[in-house]
Amino acid sequence: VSAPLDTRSLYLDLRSGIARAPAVDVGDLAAVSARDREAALTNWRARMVSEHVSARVFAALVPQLMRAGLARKWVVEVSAMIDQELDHGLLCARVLSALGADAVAPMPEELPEVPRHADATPVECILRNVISISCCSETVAVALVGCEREQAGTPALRALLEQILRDEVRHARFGWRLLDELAPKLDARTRERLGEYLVAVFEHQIAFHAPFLEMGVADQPGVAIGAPDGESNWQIFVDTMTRITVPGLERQGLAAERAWTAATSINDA
Amino acid sequence: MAAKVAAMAGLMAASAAYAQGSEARTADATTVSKASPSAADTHSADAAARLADRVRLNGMKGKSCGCSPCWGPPAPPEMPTRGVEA
Repeated sequence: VSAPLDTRSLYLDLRSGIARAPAVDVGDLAAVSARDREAALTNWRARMVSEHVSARVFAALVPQLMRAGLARKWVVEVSAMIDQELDHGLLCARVLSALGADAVAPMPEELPEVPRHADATPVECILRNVISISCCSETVAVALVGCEREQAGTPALRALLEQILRDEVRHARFGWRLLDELAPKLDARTRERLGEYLVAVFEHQIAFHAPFLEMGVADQPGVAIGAPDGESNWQIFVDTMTRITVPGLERQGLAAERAWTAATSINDA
Repeated sequence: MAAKVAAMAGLMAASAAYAQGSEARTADATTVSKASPSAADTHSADAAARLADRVRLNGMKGKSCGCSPCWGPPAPPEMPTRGVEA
């Protein structure tokens, strides 16, 4: 008789999912300090969870795309992204395992729903969410993963990061392409509301990435296995937002510069 | 130095992700690679440091899904009530 299910214990356990996968060569860990090794474990564990739970974000976009009457190709693309995020969770679990830890982690206490934006039309609703997900989060993710790929300590780790990066590029491009198609057709009022929403999106991005500022700066051997360099990651976040996302949204006729200024003028008023 | 080169590679990857599929955006995105490295670096480092100071000053914490800032996108925010009425 198996033990009763503990319904209070919310863990993500990917051990069986990676049981038959080959071990990832993470190199000689002797050169990595205990502090950086622990930081790398924490980072990969968080990534495993983050990638896994982000599948729900793309899943929520499917009915929203349908409601907006968008072409089947967009729905097909987003549907694939659900699997890609779940796969990334397994890839992160394999690195965690290679570093000597079990691929088990607590689930986040809260998993916020993707907003339905009842105040908006279906097209504006999907644009709000895609701007946040693809044009901001995933575009920043491309820069972060791209940076880490360059510093990977072994070919196996580099290849794994390359695989994740390929998908993150798809996820970012999706949003920019959708915006390309829809933005020219928007009326002035919708553009104005999207501009207002951008302030909330940028504030949300800043808050989401703020923990980088509390992370340490790992040594090179630590960075090579995924220990964070918080200072560099923060710089990459700000650079991506100011040099790619904000100008990209401006090009689509959205008041992104103004929104970024408002979002970064925290308590200036 | 290696970290800076890697960071630039990451930024270029993001720039390429933005640019792919649109000639106009490709031209726009090349400004990332063609910017004067020293001037661009100084300006962006200043901007990042200023924003970091403000974030610390206001005690902002990650508030999305409880994860550290990873690669998986968080759920987008709601439209704040201060927004323009539909």
